[in-house]
Amino acid sequence: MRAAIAAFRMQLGLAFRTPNFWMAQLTTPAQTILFLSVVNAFDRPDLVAYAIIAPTLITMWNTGVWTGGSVVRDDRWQGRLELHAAAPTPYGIVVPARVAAVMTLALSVIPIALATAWLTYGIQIDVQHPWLLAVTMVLIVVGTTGTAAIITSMTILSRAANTLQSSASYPFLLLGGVFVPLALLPVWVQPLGRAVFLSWGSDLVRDGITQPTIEGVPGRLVILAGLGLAGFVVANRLIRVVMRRVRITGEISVQ
Amino acid sequence: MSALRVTAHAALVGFEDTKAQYTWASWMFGWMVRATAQVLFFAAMGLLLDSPALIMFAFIGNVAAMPALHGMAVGPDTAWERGLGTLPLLVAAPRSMLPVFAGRSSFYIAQGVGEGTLIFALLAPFLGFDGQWWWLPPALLVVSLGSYGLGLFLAACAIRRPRIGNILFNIVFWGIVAIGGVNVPSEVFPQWVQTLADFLPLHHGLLGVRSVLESGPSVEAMRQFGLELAIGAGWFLAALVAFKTFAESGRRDGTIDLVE
Repeated sequence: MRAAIAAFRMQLGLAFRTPNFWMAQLTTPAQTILFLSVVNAFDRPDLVAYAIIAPTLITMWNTGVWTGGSVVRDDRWQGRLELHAAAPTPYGIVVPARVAAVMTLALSVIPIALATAWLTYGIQIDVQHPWLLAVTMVLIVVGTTGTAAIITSMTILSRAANTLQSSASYPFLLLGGVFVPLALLPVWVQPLGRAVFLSWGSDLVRDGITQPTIEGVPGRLVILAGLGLAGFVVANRLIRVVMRRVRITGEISVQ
Repeated sequence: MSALRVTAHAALVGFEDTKAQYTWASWMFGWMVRATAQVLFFAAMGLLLDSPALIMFAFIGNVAAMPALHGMAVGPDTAWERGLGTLPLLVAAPRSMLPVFAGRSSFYIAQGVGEGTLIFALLAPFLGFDGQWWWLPPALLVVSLGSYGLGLFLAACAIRRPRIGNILFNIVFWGIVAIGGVNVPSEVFPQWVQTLADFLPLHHGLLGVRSVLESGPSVEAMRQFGLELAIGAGWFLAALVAFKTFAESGRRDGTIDLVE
């Protein structure tokens, strides 16, 4: 636990000093304007919440996958990967803790998107179920952290996994229904999307803001939490297996 | 003449770099899946707004944004040059750096046009496109060339502060996608935003793309393509000045090799 807290704090400090950590957040105003302009052009005030949720979730996901996903790559470039392999603290604890720090900072996107909507289109959002919204956002952070930890752990084995990192954005955002709910996509896509925790999260966020009554909340929260935690477990196992393998083969620096 | 030779050699290096970055499998099943999903993501907005017209509008807009994305990506990639340590040599060389950087990432022009065309070919039949598709590659080439000028200007800015290269590129690209008429016509924005879009790449090129896909070449389409190329050339000249001042100030104070 102490190692996880130390890794979390180290990554927070690093993030404050590194401009690239803020890259996704800085594109949020443009993306918020993009979605709001579409909703506004079609005169659909009922979809305004959708247009603010979408850039928020896109930024959180991209921050997790890109910034969080570069933890191992940075360690490799800075020559820390070998030290982690030699250290007694499992790397499988350090990596998710560091990605979690990145994701905590990514929550700053919420006020950025809300402020952009207010400053550009004069829009303010009323939330129907604030507690449900808060719990869902926390679970989305947990799920994104787990997924990003899986992606970054793959980069231990191969540098080619960097391509996977840059590719894991829009396919997941589409299947995750971050702007267009999964229910509106073709039927054959929907089972695929339901395996992505983000689809449960984005539906709950939208319902939490716009719907007076919501059905099946406990079950949907359990599925969201379960899929998110599964990511953590898989990432931890994957890192353990991969680190053991690269120790045996001695290929940690030559992949 | 020798500037052209330098550009050609730099283009070859850039091509080899890109080849090293991807395998066929990682390009096809990694990058292309992502790029196709990006176009579908925005085209799907038409499902939510119950508008088949929006599906087609956003589809064409986001296909055309692909060559613009590649054209502008020259910015952060060039900034890497400083981190790699090749920049002091370029500054010490008697020639301008522009032919090197213009050639270095010129493969992105071909990549953007090729990928945009491929995504279009993959998705157009499913989305019910029935226009004059054969005009797409040359039209995307104009968008790509128009964006490359701004990409080089971003490169000249990012080379001074390599750490902001990616940030600058992303802010500018998403700003252009938001206001340039990709998902909704630029006319929905206030006049000052439309004027801003007028001086940025993609806006005019995209109007030309939509026009030729619908009704083939026309005077209006050629005018829009002309404006796109003129804007690209304007940003190219700005890049020339910016590279020159960077090299001169770097020579004067000896800071080229001191990456922030």
